[in-house]
Parts: sequence; structure tokens; C-alpha cells
Amino acid sequence: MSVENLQIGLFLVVGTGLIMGVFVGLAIWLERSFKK
Amino acid sequence: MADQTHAPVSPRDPKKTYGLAELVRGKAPSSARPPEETVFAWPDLVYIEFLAMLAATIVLIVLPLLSGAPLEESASADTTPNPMKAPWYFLGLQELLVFFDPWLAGVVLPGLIIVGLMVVPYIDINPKGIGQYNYTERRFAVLTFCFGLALWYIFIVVGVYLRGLDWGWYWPWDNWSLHKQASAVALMDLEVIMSQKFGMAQTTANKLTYLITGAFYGIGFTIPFLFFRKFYDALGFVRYNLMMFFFMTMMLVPFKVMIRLVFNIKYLLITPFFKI
Repeated sequence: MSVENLQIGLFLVVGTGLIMGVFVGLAIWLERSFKK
Repeated sequence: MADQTHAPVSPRDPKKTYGLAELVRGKAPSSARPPEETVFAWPDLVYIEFLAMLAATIVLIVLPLLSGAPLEESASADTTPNPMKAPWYFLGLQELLVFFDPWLAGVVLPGLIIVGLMVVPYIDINPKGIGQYNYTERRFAVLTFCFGLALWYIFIVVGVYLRGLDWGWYWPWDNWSLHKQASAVALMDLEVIMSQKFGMAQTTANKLTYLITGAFYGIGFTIPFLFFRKFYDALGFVRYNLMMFFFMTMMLVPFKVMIRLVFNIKYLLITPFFKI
């Protein structure tokens, strides 16, 4: 495994996690703001 | 004394079929709240939806006025841009072509995404959280959907911002006008790697790759069955297997990407019909 591949792999994992975090965060925020 | 058993008001005709609601067993989804705690769809909901529609329309009209469509010159054999990129919303699919056969990346996987989304209402029989934004009661569903959506967008991000000449990977700080050197380690098929490492015939290695791919799906199907039996019991045999098939196929995409990056594996499985 080359250093470049490691960087790419890390980028993909972190990037997917961040985007997923935004969507899940939105889901949690929506739930909270609509709950009484 | 009067007869207490009345004839049914609308007797069933055995020769007729009745509506779908009559045929399908189960409870209709309904709110557990009393009427005084609910609001009407009209005007309470539809009014807000109408305002949202107006806002969306205004945004859609103003946006193209502010920024033009990125149209280029007419196609010509004299100018062949490198790399040739699809519109941004298709770049995720174009990026998948790096990792999968064209007909898998371009036809089967997008097809499965569409079919998979279409079967969600039939697979998902969990009545929790209907008609409301709900994360706490629907963790698995929300997380799975968000993961799939994140996968879709990360490939678009890569395609738009990180692919340069010859579809090579370019970081923003790289020189984008220089061709990248080909990687020193060549990509190899899993069966070739196995036959070289363990000194077995390639046909035997090929058969083993079927087993490995089968094991990927097999483990995915078995683990929830063994450790989250409630899940299987709630869904039933057909729904469970359908859902796990779509789920594991979605997971196959990051799995394939990672084994390619980590082990330099070009194809996990080679069949006469397709390569994964």
C-alpha cells in the first residue's frame, strides 16, 4: 500500500464520515426542533 | 325474543375482489394522538408547502440569472479535453468506473439504487416515526440512508475536485498540468495474487474468489440474523433477504474501493459474464 493510496483512503473515509455527519446531524436537528 | 344476529350490512361476495385495504392484513398507520393534538393537512400543512414551493421557485429563477450554465464550445475532434468530465451530478457514476466494470458502474449499480429506493416502502414495515422527523426510533434506517447518500456525494466530490489528467488523482496543491507518474505497484486481480502467493493454479484461485465474494454476502446476511434476531423476526424471510441484498451491495462499493487501495486488487471476482 503506497502513501498516496493511504491518503486517498483516509480522505474517502473522513469525507464520507463528514458528509454523513451533516445528514445525520440534520436528521437529529429536525427531530428535536419538531418535538414538543 | 328478537334475533340478535343481524345480517351483515354489506355481505361479502366470494366472486368479487375487494380493495387492497381489504386484502392486506395489518393496521393502518395512524397517529396515536387524540384529534385535539393534531392539525389538518389543509390549511395547516398545505399552506406551508405552498410557501415552500414559492420560495423554491424564486430560488430556481434567481440562481440561473446570477450564474450562467457552464456550457462549452460545440464538440469538435480538434479539441479533446483531458479529462473529459460528465456534468457534476453524473461524476459520481463516472468515478465508479474507476472501480467497477462499465456495465456494473453505469447500469447495474445505478439500477440497483433506483430499484432499492423503490422497494423501501415494501421492505420497511416499521410503523414508528410515520409522518414525523424521527431519528431516535429509526436509527438503522436513517443511518443506512445517510451513508448511501454520503457515498453518492463523496464520489461526486472526488470526481469534481480531485480528478485531473488521465483521470488521475490530483490533490489541490499538485501541479495539474503535469501528467502523474504511473503507480509503481501494478493493480492485479485477486485470483492472480492468490495463485502467485500460494502457488495454486489460477483456475483454483478463481473458484476461491467465488467463495470469498460469497463469504462477503454470506457474512453480511448471517451476522444480523444471529445477533439481531428481532430484526429478522420483524421483517420476515423475504423482506430480510431483499434488504440485506441491497444493503450488502451498497457496502460492496466501499469494500471494493478499499481493497483496491489497500491491496492493489483490480478485480475481486472474475466471471465469464462480469468482473467485480
